[in-house]
Amino acid sequence: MLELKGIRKVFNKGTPDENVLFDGFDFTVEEGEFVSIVGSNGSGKTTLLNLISGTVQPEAGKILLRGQDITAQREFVRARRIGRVFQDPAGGMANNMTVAENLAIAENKGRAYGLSAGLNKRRVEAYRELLRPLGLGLEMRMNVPVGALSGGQRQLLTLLVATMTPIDVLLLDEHTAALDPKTAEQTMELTDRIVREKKITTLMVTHNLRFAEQYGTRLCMFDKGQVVLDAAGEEKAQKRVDDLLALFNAISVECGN
Amino acid sequence: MFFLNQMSTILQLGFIYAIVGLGVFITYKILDFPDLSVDGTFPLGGVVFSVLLVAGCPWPVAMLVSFFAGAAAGLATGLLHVKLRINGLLAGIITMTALVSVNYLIAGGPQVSFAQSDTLLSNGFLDGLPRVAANYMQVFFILLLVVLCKVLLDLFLKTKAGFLLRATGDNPQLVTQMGKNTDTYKMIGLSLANGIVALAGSLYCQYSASYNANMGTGTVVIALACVIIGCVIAKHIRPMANTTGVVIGALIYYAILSVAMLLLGSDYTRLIVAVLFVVVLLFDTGLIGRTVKKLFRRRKKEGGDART
Repeated sequence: MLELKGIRKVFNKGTPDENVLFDGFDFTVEEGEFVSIVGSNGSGKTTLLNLISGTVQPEAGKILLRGQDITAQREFVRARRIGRVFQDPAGGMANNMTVAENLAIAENKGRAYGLSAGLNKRRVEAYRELLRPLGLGLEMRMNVPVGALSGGQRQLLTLLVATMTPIDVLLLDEHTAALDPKTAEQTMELTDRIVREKKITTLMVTHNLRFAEQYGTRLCMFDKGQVVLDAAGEEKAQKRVDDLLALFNAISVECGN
Repeated sequence: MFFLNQMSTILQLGFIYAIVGLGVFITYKILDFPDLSVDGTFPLGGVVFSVLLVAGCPWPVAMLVSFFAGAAAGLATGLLHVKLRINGLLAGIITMTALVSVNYLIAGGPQVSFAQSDTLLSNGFLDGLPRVAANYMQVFFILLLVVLCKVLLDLFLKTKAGFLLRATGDNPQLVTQMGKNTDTYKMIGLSLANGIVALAGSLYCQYSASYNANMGTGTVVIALACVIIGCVIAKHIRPMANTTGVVIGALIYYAILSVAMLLLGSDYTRLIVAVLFVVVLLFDTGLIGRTVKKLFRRRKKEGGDART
């Protein structure tokens, strides 16, 4: 469903700091898979997401989404089929705009943004009903600027915003890393529920080995631009956090960390 | 009588700069784009209006054309920034510099005078009124235009397109995530802003019944001061809209400027404008507010000490 073929990505090209991260890198994600990706810093996890979303361009190789070559498409064009949640809770929403206004923008994704009214009472009511099940009391704060909400509330909202309209792929870039343990747990539960309900193909980068083990249908560990562990289905179910940690430490020792 | 005349001048110029402020509000506050092309588009609106009027064009049409001339200049700044990837500040300076020549070429000289033609601020109806009454009638006409611009802008910012324009300045990533190109919205914002500024320029020329090439100097600084004062006011008096704040800010600014000019003479105008801008910026950063509070607290403490 999502294929990366023969990807080459070099950072600081032409300088003494030149760093070849991916060279002839292949990666395939099947329809409906929920892939958890772990790995140390600089292993290429986030770059993988950036390549898929179009934030960075590969030097060589192709990226196919449902068989269509999207390598040459600009980021905002790809975004019509891809949703993304960032680590920084301030990253996914317009923070000076209200909760209702942000939801209105998200709901209209894929359609024209013309001169009709952005919001009306009926829509605001519908958004209230959408937020009520979260149990955060956000349904009472529709006219509060998003920037005034807590990081956790914003991240849950961003998750809703990213998945409000039908998308082919959801990219989660350490989206629980900036949250306290309880909120992180809550965010992961909501993530899992949305991904299951809407059957969205998902790639989740995380530093939390327990989340990687507990959630998702496939688990990948990255190291220096290589996939060193790739387990799906039964094989993934047998992996324990300790196994992951052991492998992780082994890699880190190799790196001299 | 002197006071009444001074007051009407403050209101006339205050409201004209309120319109400039509404334009600059779009770029500075909504798009977070420091647009300096305003110094060129304000006189551009004036010169286009003046030349058309002299050529026999009715004033409403001339005003409309000046709006579009300004919008085109704003689009030029946008294209420089978005397509050629030139820094926003520099893109504005380039447009502003180029417009000095463009304005001169359109005017065919440094000045255009149209004292005989009918305009919004000089027509048969106003000529029939006593001087003071005519001045306040002019204030009323300008105010109508201010309200029209403000209401239309407020309405636009509440449409879907307006939402995305605001999101572009707030968090461009959100606009990208929605599958839209932020470049488009930057260009729309710059066009709209400079169109409004040019409209104000045409009004300024009607106020002085002539076009003068120097009329644009310092427009950006004046307008930014109005916008900043306005947004500080609106922040403290909720639920006042920012746009209402900008209009009030422009009046306050012009009142202060007029008093300062009366005391020091018009030779000091630009110096006063510059110093006032520094004061406004210090207010915006909260430096003045904190200092005043500190002084106040110290005096209170000393007062308390004296009592004990």
